[in-house]
Amino acid sequence: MKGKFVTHEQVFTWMERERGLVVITERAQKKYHHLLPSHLITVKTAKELFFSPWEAVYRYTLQGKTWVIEEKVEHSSFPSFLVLLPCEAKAILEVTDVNFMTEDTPDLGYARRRRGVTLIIVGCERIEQTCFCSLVGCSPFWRHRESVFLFPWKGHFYLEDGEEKLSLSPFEDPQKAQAVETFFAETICTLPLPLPANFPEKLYAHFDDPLWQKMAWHCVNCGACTYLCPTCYCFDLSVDGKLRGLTLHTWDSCMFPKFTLHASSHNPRPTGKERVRQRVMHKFSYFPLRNKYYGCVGCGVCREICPVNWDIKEVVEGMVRQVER
Amino acid sequence: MNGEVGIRIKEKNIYVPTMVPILEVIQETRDIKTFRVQRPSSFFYHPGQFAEIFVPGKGEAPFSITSSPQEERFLEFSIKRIGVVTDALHRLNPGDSVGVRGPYGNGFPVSSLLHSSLLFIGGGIGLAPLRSLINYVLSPQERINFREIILLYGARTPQDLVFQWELKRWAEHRDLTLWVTVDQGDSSWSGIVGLVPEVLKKVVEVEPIGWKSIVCGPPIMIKFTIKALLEMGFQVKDIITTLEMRMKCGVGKCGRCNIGPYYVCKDGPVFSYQELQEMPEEY
Amino acid sequence: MYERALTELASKILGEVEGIIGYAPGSLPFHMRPFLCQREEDIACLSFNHFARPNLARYLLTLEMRKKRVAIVVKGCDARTVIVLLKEGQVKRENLYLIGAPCHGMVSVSKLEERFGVLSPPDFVWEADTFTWRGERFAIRDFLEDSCERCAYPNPPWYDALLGEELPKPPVLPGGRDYLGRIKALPLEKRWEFFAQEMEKCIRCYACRNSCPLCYCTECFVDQTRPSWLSQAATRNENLFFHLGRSLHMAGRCTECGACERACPLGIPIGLLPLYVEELIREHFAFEAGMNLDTPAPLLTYRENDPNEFIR
Ligand SMILES: Cc1cc2nc3c(=O)[nH]c(=O)nc-3n(C[C@H](O)[C@H](O)[C@H](O)COP(=O)(O)OP(=O)(O)OC[C@H]3O[C@@H](n4cnc5c(N)ncnc54)[C@H](O)[C@@H]3O)c2cc1C
Ligand code: SF4
Ligand code: SF4
Ligand code: SF4
Ligand code: SF4
Ligand code: SF4
Ligand code: FES
Repeated sequence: MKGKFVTHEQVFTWMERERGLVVITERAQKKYHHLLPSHLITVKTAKELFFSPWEAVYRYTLQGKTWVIEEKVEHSSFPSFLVLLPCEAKAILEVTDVNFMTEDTPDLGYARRRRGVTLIIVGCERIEQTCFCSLVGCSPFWRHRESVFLFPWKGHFYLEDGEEKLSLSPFEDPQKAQAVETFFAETICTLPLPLPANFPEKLYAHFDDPLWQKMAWHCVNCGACTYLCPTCYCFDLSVDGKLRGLTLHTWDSCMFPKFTLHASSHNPRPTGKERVRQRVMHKFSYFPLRNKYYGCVGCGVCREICPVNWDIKEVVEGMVRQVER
Repeated sequence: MNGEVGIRIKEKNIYVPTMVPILEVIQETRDIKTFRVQRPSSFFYHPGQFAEIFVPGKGEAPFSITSSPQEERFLEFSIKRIGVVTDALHRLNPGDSVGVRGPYGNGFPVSSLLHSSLLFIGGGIGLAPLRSLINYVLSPQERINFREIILLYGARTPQDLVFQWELKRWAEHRDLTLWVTVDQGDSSWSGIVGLVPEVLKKVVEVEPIGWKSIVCGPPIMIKFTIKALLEMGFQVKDIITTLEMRMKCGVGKCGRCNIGPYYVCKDGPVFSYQELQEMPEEY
Repeated sequence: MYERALTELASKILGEVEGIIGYAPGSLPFHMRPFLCQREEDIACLSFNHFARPNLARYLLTLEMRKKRVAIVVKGCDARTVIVLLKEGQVKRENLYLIGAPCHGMVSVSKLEERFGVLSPPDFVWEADTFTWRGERFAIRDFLEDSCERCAYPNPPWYDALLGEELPKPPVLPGGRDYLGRIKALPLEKRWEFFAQEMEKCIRCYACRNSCPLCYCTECFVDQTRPSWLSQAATRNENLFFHLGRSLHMAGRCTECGACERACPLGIPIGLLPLYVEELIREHFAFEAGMNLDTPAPLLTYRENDPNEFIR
């Protein structure tokens, strides 16, 4: 699709006007604070807008001798636009949507919130030290046909909005649009190469590799990386309240020992080694084997926040060397 | 889901259970009870599937449906008391209600079992999922579709045998050969004493061609039973077993029950030994 | 920093100990990571600088390490944690070799970013108490992590070998720099407002708990189900309950190393709570955790003649 152009001001005023309906991720805000309004509602991670750290699924109440179950229905108004970076958008479109919005059994809470929201992807002018999106099928200019795409270009925004979701009346400039495309293509050629073909299959064959033990050593098995990862979708269902209360849908993480602990006290993933392996394998082998996309979008957030500098990129590159040996 | 809510929402929330009354509670052993609950409308299942049972204020846990799908009025679950939810369940009586959601999982591959002879091997509470299939294949409508049927069942002590009433019935059933064994006998026990895999090799004499074996029980028993079956000449694809993993959602979303790329709640819990061999050993 | 001393010592003791738990340069600039040195060729990786943030004592408690005799690199606060672990019977004296690293304080990356924007490693030249950025000189103490700003014990109180020389006791900082003091100076409702806001942010990832070497319970009270102490929902109140509970479990044990708050991915100054509890312990029991091997910890001590009746 050929893109068009809008002025910074057009985008700025549009967002100002739609303020209550536009949410922006903290990372996008930090990156583009000079071009976008500063008072937009922000979220730490894109996923939390649809899949919040905790939410009530239903209420149960003992009335007389019978239990009454009432589903929680949200009435509050919900945003219509989410402004985010390419990797964050890929995480929603190709990971969390895939997990939650299955046709047979959609997660209703997620689906209801997600359906009404258009993603506005703002491409990256600068690649951060922790970014490695090009390794996993993403890029600083990653676009998606159902989403709007913006990219700052010589005083304007380059805009792809085939369905005209943002009533912006952009102007055309085929020559300039061509220049943008060329720039994207040329820049992508300079980025680190994608992981080798069939890496998910190859990694799967290295389930028993002794390297896992060594790699897992310094990870403290907290939930920081998985909670802030834009793709991690694991959750728990638990209850809160005795005679009346709520059934909760809360974030959970494969890094916690209790995640897989059986009542018999048997645990299929008893130590850090198995849990770290699960995290890496899930993102780089199991998820792509099932759903064709990587379960990691290379955003680098986990690398940045890990308290002990456990680095998934480094580990994956180590595994690439190992499988190619 | 009750009608009123249904109108407002239209779509079904997969995590919301249907509350149903408990019709009957049977004390099976010291720590196992069988619960017969009303079958929710439009709850259709296959043998080997499971459901999530919700105890308000306590939580949810997955249990195999042990009744045969041909029972129209009720569902049965046999539940061992071991933690929060199971403890709370054991305190309930007929007339109390529990939430049910499901059915979940793949169930036994009934169509691939057609026209075979079936060797059921159960250990302890592992008889629960088998019972659903046994009663299904023994039913007059289905019986002609299967050939010989053998059940070998074992428990730690005579007091740990579940479904004693059912075992009596099966013992008298002319279409089923029943062997019951215990690891440790006592003065009341005149039957076989010995571990399941050993007893299997001693008493069951079959030429494995045309046979399928369905094994269910504690992990250690499964492991040695499969070994014994292979020694007897069973093919890996003809050995079927069920796995247990900690579960929450039951529909392949919460992410905790995977073995490699497979979600046990969705792609399992029933797997052939052939499939298991191709999976990482993390269960 | 200390590279020479570190490698010399390591070559000497490796063999006598089965491993050296130390720091190695991380995968990102301004990051050091825990490193287990077990072979001759690993020794060259060992290093120490202003970014050796994690408290390594935590790694003494892994199953693998408990069985071995190991050496461990410790800053002042970390050494104190090891002493607490010894007192609590979690590690054995004969299995330990403490390598003390007199500490000039850990530098906060976010404070650097606040001042210099996007950081580029070649811009910086580091020395013990100062650094230069593009040739301009700055004092390390202006960029310290909050917990290091108020550090009173940069030298390990106890060690088997010391890297370099003991440092002079740091000057008592003017009140304004002490962040606990700053919060305490606020009126009560402002204090509540502050904590309420911070607690709202917490997502209960437990990075704080898991980074703390003294949070070693096999089952933390937040994970217990019989009874269940708190809801899984990360609401303000439940979060506060978790953090208050944790602080109380730390009473008289916390060595104010700051590992918990440096671990927090959301930058919640969670160390404030245990810090405050330690102030109370100092005030009421004249005790500081992990200063020597002999003084028993107040909350682990029972005395027939305790002045407080409720104890008796
Ligand atoms: C497919 C399947 C079928 C099962 N069928 C039966 C059966 O027929 N009879 C029976 O007695 N038991 C069965 N179990 C095991 C049963 O689910 C656990 O014993 C039960 O979850 C323990 O819950 P609790 O709350 O009492 O224990 P707690 O230790 O308090 O566990 C807390 C929660 O963790 C989860 N959990 C803990 N252990 C398990 C586990 N082993 N499997 C799944 N989730 C777990 C549950 O959500 C549970 O509520 C089955 C498990 C699975 C996976
Ligand atoms: S990798 Fe880092 S953030 Fe993730 S669990 Fe391990 S220590 Fe925590
Ligand atoms: S880089 Fe880390 S945080 Fe980002 S998607 Fe991959 S695993 Fe998740
Ligand atoms: S990495 Fe772990 S927490 Fe994240 S989605 Fe995969 S299994 Fe879940
Ligand atoms: S990883 Fe970095 S460069 Fe790539 S899309 Fe994300 S923020 Fe942009
Ligand atoms: S590290 Fe921070 S966000 Fe995580 S539990 Fe602790 S205070 Fe909360
Ligand atoms: S139980 Fe949730 S994914 Fe299987």
